[in-house]
Amino acid sequence: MDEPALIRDAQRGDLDSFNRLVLEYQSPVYNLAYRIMGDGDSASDATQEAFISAYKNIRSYRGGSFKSWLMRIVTNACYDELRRRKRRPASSLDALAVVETGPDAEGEAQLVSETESPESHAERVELAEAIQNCLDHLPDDQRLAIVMCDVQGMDYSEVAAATRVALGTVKSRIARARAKLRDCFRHHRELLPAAFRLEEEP
Amino acid sequence: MMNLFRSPEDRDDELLSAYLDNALAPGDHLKLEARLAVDLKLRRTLNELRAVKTGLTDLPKVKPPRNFTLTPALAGQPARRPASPLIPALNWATTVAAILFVAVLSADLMGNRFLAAPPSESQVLTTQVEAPAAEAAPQVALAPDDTQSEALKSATATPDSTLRVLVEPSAEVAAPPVGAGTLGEDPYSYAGAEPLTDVPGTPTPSLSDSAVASSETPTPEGTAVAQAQTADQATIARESETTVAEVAPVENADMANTQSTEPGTNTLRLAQLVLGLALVGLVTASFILRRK
Repeated sequence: MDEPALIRDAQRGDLDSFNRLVLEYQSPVYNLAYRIMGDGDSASDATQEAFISAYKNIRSYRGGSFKSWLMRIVTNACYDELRRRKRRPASSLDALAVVETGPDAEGEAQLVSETESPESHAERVELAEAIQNCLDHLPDDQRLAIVMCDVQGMDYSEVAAATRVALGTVKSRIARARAKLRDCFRHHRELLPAAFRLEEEP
Repeated sequence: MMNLFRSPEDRDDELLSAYLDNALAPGDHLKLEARLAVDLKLRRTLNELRAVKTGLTDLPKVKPPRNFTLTPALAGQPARRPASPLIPALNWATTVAAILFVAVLSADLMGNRFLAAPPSESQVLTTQVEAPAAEAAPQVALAPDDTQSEALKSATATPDSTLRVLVEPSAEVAAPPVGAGTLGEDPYSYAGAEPLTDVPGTPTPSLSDSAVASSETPTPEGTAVAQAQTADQATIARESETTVAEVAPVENADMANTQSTEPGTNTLRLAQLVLGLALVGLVTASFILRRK
């Protein structure tokens, strides 16, 4: 894929070229939205909004990592949706129901399954639900930072650029998020498989 | 400032988190490693945070439930109308018209170059020749008058057949003034047949001789002038004889050439015009259709 050429064509209004970029990046964008929003429907909405916004603003793209640029846009889309939820308590209750039951059946079914035994797959799904449940209880800014860093593999400077905050703020948010997740994992220790069980040194 | 209000555990969590991400300054990194070597609780916390990081990193990727490609409606674009079926036809027509136009233009240019070479020589010849002929014509036309008047005066035979031939081409122009009352039935003869034709006993004179002979009592200067004039006229007449004789066929050939090539050239020009207009029209129509 000749990404620069596709971006140039998309900047000239070529929707087909932009859609090729969408197909290339929709998985990381959707995964980021999924980990931030906590459910498949909200993640789908945020992902679609992000790509629409990206297409409308693609002329403002001035080079650099296109993936980071997309991540910033989907982050903003997720922020907007989270703000809307805070303004609408009913939506928050809906989200709480999702959190209590874990990822919805659709999202669970969509987990990429490799060739593994049913037991192993069940353990993996259980672990993912537990982690997602812990993530969902984080403050939005900390959840965004830790998902970008640990789930998406972005470094501090990329997270800082995507969330438009200082590098020190990113470092602090990630540290707090990890500390809170550690506490959360302790409460779900029975759910964690042996490989991820927090073993205390003698 | 914020660090002042945070607990030592919080500060350690931040140091350990940055340590896991290799985001510590070299000095802080060494200090922390020295502490980890001796502090069991700190080492346990580091392992817990590392497990959290690993758990997040190893989270399975969620497959998007669908593609998120944009339709024109989603992208805020008007629905794309099907392209006009005329566009391919216009493209072909434009291509054909362009090729024909170039071919006709090339044919015209090459034809011009081919035709331009011979006329350029004849034109030089014509310009060289036409000037003396034009100058010679009136002089030659005058020659019979002068000669005739002198011949009439002297009543001697002056022009020989050479002079007649010389005058003949110009005689058509000079005939009216000369012919009135002086020419006999033969339009190419001067002052009747007898004086101009061979007079018995009179040798056929040369032109200069006749000129000298024509002035019976001239002054010496007048004789000289007359001789000079007559000699000049004769020279010009000779020149005009040859030039007119040469030019006539060249001009005729040139005219014939022009007449024979003009219809072809006109057709080429017309074809160029038509094809050029068609090309402009097709390109404009194609542009408008594409814009729509």
